[in-house]
Amino acid sequence: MKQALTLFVSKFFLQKILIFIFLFSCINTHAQDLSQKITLKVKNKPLSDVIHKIENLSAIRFSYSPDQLPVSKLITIHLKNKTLQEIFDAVFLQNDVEYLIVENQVILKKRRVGSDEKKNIDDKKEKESEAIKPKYTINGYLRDKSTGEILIGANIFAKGTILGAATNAYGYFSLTLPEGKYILCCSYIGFKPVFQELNLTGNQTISFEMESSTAQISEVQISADDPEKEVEMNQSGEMKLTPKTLSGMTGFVGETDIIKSLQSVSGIKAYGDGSTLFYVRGGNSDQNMILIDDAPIYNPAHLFGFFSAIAPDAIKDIEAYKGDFPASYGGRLSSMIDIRTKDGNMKQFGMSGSIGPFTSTISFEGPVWKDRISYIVSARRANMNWIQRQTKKTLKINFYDLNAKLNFKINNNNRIFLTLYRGADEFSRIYSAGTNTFGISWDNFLSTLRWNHIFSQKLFSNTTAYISRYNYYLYISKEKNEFWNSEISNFSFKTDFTWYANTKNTIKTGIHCNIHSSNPGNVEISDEYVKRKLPAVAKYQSREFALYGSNEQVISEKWSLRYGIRVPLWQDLGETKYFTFNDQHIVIDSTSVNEGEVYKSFLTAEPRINVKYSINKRTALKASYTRNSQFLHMITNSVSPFTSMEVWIPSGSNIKPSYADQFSAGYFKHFSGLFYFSGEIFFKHIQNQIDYADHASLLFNPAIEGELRQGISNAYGTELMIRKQDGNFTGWIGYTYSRSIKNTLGINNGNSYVAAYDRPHDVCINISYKAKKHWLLSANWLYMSGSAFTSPVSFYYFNGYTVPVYGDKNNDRLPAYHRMDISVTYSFRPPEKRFQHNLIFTLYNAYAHKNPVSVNFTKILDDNGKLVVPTDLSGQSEIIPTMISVAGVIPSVTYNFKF
Amino acid sequence: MNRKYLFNKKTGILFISFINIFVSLLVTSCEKKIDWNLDIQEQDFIIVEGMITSEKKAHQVKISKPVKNLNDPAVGVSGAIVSINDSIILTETTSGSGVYQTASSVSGSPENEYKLKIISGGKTYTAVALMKPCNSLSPLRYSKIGGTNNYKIDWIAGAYNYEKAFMYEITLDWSSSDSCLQGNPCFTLMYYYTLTTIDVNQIFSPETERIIFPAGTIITEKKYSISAEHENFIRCLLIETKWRGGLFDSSPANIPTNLTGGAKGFFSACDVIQTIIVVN
Repeated sequence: MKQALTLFVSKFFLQKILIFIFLFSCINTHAQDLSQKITLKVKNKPLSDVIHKIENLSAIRFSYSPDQLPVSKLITIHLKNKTLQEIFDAVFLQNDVEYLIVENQVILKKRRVGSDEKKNIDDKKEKESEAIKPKYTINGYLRDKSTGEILIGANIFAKGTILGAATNAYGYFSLTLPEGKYILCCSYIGFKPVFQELNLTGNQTISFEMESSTAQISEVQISADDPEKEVEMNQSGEMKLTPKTLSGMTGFVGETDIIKSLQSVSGIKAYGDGSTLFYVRGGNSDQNMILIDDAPIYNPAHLFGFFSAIAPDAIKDIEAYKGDFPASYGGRLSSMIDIRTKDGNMKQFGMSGSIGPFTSTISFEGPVWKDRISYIVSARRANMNWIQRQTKKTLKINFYDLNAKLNFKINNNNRIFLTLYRGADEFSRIYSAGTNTFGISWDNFLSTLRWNHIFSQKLFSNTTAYISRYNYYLYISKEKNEFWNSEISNFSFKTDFTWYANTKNTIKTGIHCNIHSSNPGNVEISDEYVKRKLPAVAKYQSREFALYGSNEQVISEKWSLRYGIRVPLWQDLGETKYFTFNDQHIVIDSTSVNEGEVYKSFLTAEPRINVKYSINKRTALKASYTRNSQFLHMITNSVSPFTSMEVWIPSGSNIKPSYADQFSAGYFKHFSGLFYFSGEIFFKHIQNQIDYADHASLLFNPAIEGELRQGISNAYGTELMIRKQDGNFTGWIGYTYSRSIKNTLGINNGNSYVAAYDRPHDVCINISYKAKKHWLLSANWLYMSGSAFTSPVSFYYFNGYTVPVYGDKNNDRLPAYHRMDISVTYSFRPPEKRFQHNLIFTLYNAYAHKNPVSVNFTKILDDNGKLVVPTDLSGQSEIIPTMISVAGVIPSVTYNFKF
Repeated sequence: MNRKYLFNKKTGILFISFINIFVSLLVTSCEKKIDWNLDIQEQDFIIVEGMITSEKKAHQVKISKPVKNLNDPAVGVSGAIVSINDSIILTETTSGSGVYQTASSVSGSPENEYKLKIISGGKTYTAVALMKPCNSLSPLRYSKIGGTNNYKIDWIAGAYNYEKAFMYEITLDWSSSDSCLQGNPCFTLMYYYTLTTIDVNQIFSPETERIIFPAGTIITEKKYSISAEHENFIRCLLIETKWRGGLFDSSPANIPTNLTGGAKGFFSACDVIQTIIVVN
């Protein structure tokens, strides 16, 4: 009681602090009240229905494993105006079911005469006897009870021990324990914990089904998750997001946005308004890889970056690694964003959708064959007709996403997933009296086929084949099919094995084969004469083989390790032509390579190690070292926040691979089970980071490699975050201090310079408050130091132009960026109802702060009061310094529904 | 239109307009005047703006100093000794102007190389320029603006040519027209370019000042041949001026030069073709 009181008081005061900061109020804590009286009348109903009825009649929530209870047993009972205690005794005890109140849950389990849980736990702690006991393995899947969706990263552990496991990306777990009696606990963000008593006398396959803690409006709650286990499981530099946590964050114009949500996490820096570009721990934006069901997406931007590709309804889970990624990931230096899409509801048909001023979404899912085959189709398209109407339909702005997935459970040991994704943007304008259409468009296409196979209780494998393709078009004439086009695509095959060797070792190994091809931009034109005369930019073909192995090892109660190595081999192949450059980067020779001929190879090793020391069950210290390499580079010298005709080029004769060595260390602690604190420091050294010659010509240039320069980059910083993930008031506050300094031969006279994305201070605050059953208030505040840019140190005149003279590169800073977004969600129906619908009112940039993206010294004020670049150079105009900002306050209302 | 020109000027204009409409409507973007404190540094170099052409005229070389603030008046460099190919001597037109010119009978010839030499402040600056030949000129096209008595230019040249680069100098002079009100400037000078390269910030360049002119305007259009080095200078000049200030800018940098000794600017040699149009 005293402990509960202490907990309540600390919770109260900590919440009050947050309330004071964010101008929200109200605290709500719950306790199960068994004195509540209800009337229960059922006749020949299965126990599961009776439990459900009690839930509906009271505020009580039950946790139980259907496998362990006589849920189909028919019950007839009529109790009028009885307390819950009396009802429970009558319904459960008389049917050999025990009930146990744990936190806010009522745990149901099969009644065992004479069982003594505490004694069992004590017994398990007797290590001497454990050592001689035979060990057995429990394996299986953790699933969402209502949909059959597998749960990624869910924890399963034997209560009272340090022994536990997390489900992998396919919801599979394998846990080896000494013979004995246990209470297994399954926990997962946003789901009620499941407790199950287990008498382990042999290998067992058990799949658990977990029930969502609440629905829709309260999904932001992360209830009953075991805080101790979070410290146990999370690695340094790792962040996990689920749709439930995302839905509690203020999205852009009422829409959940994965990338923009990630940008409010400490250590991940946003570019600014309307941009999907982000920078992780001092790395460039092309050093981040976004995977959708294992396949990379090269341009995750819609509408130049205002929206992220990937419809939110299709997402199940997101793992974000800030450089310390496991050996199974590779190919980028700074971050890995692993997005897993939903598998489709195995139990029943479901549908969800939304309508807003900018986009509409719709999703269908359901079983083709119940508990065997399911599907999900999710689509989103832009609602930009209102803009088109204002331009007399000459302007076309459109984008869409389409996700489809088929999930086939062949048997308990084999499962197949087929994922398709296509997203495209198109911006065009009809000209010349409707005879010619100019425009730009880009599209991403991904397809993944995955096969899960369980060889034995301890050996799990996944084999994936995927293709990914990204195209960018600049149309000269759509009617004549004349365009500039760049493309990157890859076809890949990978197979991974996870061997749950014993209680203390989980070994992962695999091979990844990739065939890449890229076209850095060529023009397609109908006039054959012109076509022959146009410069041809050589296309690239490359292949990559990567072997990896890693081990997650528990050394003792205090120490654990994750170590591994990845060995990629990169080869560039013909048919192509490459140039040789002299020291001044002038072409001096060219070499043609025959089809299939290897003309450049790179072999490297990427070791990595994570060490964790648990000070106690709520506190841990972690440290890591990771080496990553990158062979594919996005080429752009744009300082724009928007996606702008970037091209991709592989390492080769003139471009060395980039390497990053990252060291990080962190302190992680749970306070009172309510607040989670993490503090991390990092240092990252990047070799061969790409930069560009002054005024590099990167578009339609056959000698594009001569425009690139490579140098080193050093980044360091500290990331602090405090998170509250339980209760009605949830959210986090993050602060990052980081620097990123470059040094590149031939740039800035060989002197060091700060990166454009060097923004030393970064604060993010994200809060949600659930007010009663129907209201959810969310707010997000972001502050960043202004980005570095190069400003003139004097001017001169030439031919009537006012020409800037620059000093050091990135010698100046834009004003600090800050923005607050607010959203209010009203749910029309209580969370326990199946059909849910709500309205989301959002204010993006609520206090309309003008965050600049550039400062210019090129504009004049014309006769109409517009700021324009002068055309008349006779020296009659006055140049005015100007600042461009992208987004003012953007209000929106979005209607969502789901059943 | 010559089929070598892939991306005509209209294309560029269209991209600008639809991007502007999109941005203004969708995201309430704005550009506003600001006061910005620049980290002004004292500069110790001269700027040379010189050109020799195939025209028979007094060719000028302007020598000036950089200015600390925007719109400060240019300060000419006097007392310099300026020559082309050592044999053509340029003299300062007015003391203090920094404008040096040849005799009016001087003309250059295509395929010839010209060397500019400047001695100023005890330093010697040189530059070498090759005069490329210029081919025929297709006159610009203009049209009347509906509902007014004014005109606008519709097309001057393609922005991209995969073989050769050119510069176009257009002067619009309506000083003798009835529409020229006393006290108002009735003269406009414009430059357009055809380049062998294309850039993202060129395609998405910021909105430019709209030039309109009345009937009776005398349009003088000159087409200049430009060498590869001159083209690179112009491209960089445009990146830092005409193409800067949009939403797709590239990383800023100093403009290259063909002058030695730390001077900035450019000395060029251009073959010129000229046409005169009277707007009617």
